[in-house]
Amino acid sequence: MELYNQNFTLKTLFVLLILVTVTSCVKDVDFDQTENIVPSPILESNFIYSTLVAPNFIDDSTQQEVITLTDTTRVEVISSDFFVDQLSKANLTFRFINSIDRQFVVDFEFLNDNDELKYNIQMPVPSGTVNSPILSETTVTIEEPELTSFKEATKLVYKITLPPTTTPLTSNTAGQLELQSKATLYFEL
Amino acid sequence: MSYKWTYLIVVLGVSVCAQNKQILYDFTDIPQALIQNPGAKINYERHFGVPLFSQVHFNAGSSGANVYDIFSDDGRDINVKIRDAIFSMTNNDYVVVNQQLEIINGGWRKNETTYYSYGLYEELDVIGYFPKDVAVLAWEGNANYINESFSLSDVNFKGELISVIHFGINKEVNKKLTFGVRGKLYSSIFNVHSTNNRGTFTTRLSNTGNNYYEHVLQNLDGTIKTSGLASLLDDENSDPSKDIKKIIPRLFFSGNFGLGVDLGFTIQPNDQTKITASMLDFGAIFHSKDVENYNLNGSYTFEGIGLVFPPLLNNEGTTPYWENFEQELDENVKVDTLTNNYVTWRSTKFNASYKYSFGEKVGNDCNCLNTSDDDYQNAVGVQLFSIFRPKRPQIAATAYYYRRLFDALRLKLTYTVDDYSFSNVGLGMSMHFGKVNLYGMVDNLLQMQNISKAQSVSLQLGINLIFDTND
Repeated sequence: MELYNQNFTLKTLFVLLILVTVTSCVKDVDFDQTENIVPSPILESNFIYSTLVAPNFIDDSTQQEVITLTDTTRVEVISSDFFVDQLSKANLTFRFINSIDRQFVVDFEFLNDNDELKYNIQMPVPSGTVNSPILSETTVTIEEPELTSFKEATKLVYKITLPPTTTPLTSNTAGQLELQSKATLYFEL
Repeated sequence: MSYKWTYLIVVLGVSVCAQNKQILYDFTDIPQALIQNPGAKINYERHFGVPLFSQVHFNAGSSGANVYDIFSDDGRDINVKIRDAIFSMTNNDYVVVNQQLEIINGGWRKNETTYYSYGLYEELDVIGYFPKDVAVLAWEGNANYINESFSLSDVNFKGELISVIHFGINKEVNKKLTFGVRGKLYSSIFNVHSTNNRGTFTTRLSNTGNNYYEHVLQNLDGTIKTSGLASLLDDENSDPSKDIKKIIPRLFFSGNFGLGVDLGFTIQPNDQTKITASMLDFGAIFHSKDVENYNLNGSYTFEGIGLVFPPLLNNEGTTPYWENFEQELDENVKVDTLTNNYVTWRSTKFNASYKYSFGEKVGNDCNCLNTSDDDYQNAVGVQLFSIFRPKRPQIAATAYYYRRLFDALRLKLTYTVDDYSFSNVGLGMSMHFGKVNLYGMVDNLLQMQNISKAQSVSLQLGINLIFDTND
């Protein structure tokens, strides 16, 4: 009888140990919060840059000032799955330092593969001088609804237009037009 | 959704098990104590573990955030809580998971002074250090960290699943000294590790004046080595049961074998005092089959895409700036897949203990072999544990009280201080009904009321048959 009691006590203890183990609970915890997790990194990235000297605006064959000057680069990252799915906002900042005594109108044209215009940014660049270059900076915020269209772009055209003037550039004009640019990209993962 | 889980795993770590078996160590009533110290002083004739049930061990721990820190139902935005957790941790915080399952364990006494033991067990061991810089970059981005560097050296993890076949000899030299040695044959089912990574990513204000910033990848040198994984990941099926069928034969025939040794001793200067120490898993595994290593290497500075405007009126079309950029990046920062053989060292563990026994002697009527200290009703002791980990050893100290209740129940109450906490109280009990031995051990008892607050959890259970001389 004593042995029985002893075994009974042991079994009770063992059962208690198991109970403590399996019933130990997780309190005041809400795992549904997982649904609300939104990592929101903000990336700061260079974009395009370029430096043109005044004679670059002279047509070699006619020795006359051109009407427009363009260059194009692919920017495939804009239409990548990662951008399409996760990019929620973008700030594009363009900085011009102009030491040419001539004002310009600049277009940044975002095109898709069929050369259809998906997003356009236009800004004037005021004239400067070699001794006092003029700095102008413009930030554009791209949000919905334009953002969806913007994300279809695969190419960027940097287009410089020279508005009509009575004092056109010559091959001897001094100064340069510098462009720097960056993007601030807001992601929601 | 998949992104979110990635973040959670990084923040909480993969968790579990600091390999410290502080309750089992020197609990010589239980045959598995021989696995913790091949030189443990034992006095039974034979033992045999119930196959697959002789030891189930699970341990998970995180030195940083716990589940409660992230998921507590306190009304705060979970994103704020995750951010707080990321910034409260350092790159020395880690999560560990260790799980073992004994498939076979047995032993027999050759003569009065020699005991042989053998077995086969499976072990999963994972440790991941918190990659703080990578986590901050992924969670916040670089916008608020201009001119600051993110380091790849924070990436440091290893994980392996192995099977171990072992054979040990326990020799009592005299009444005061017992020593033991155990040889181990490892078979690696899979292994992945990435340590000694270098290199930084920095976004800094431009020095050249070409553009706003310079994005600098500097001296990147990162490696992930894997064996046994490529064949599992490459196959077309997504059916886990097929993968398991592939894994089981590798318990014995993975082709990636290793050798190791355990050493240990017990010194008993007098009836009431016992000093022990052991070194476990001093060994290495040689990986040559199903090896795939990935290496990232190089430096690159990106200033943006520089438009040069092709000369007017030429017909060459536009310059392929984007393609040039991608090509330049590829040439400067190389990602290679290699199949070089490699060697991994096991995480060697050290244990030491001092035990003082006192009180009445019990149970002498059924234990005629010797007069070991185990016959005292009470004992107190201290133990030290250390394990080599990629960055630095982890250390734990334990104080304990051991008590025999009746002849059939032995209890061990432990208090452990380690990287996880200062409040780890554990309890182990070993029950002996005739030849049948049942044991169970849990630590972090104080957290059992709300396990989500626990920094670590450890659990061991098992059933053995133990034969004494008079059985």
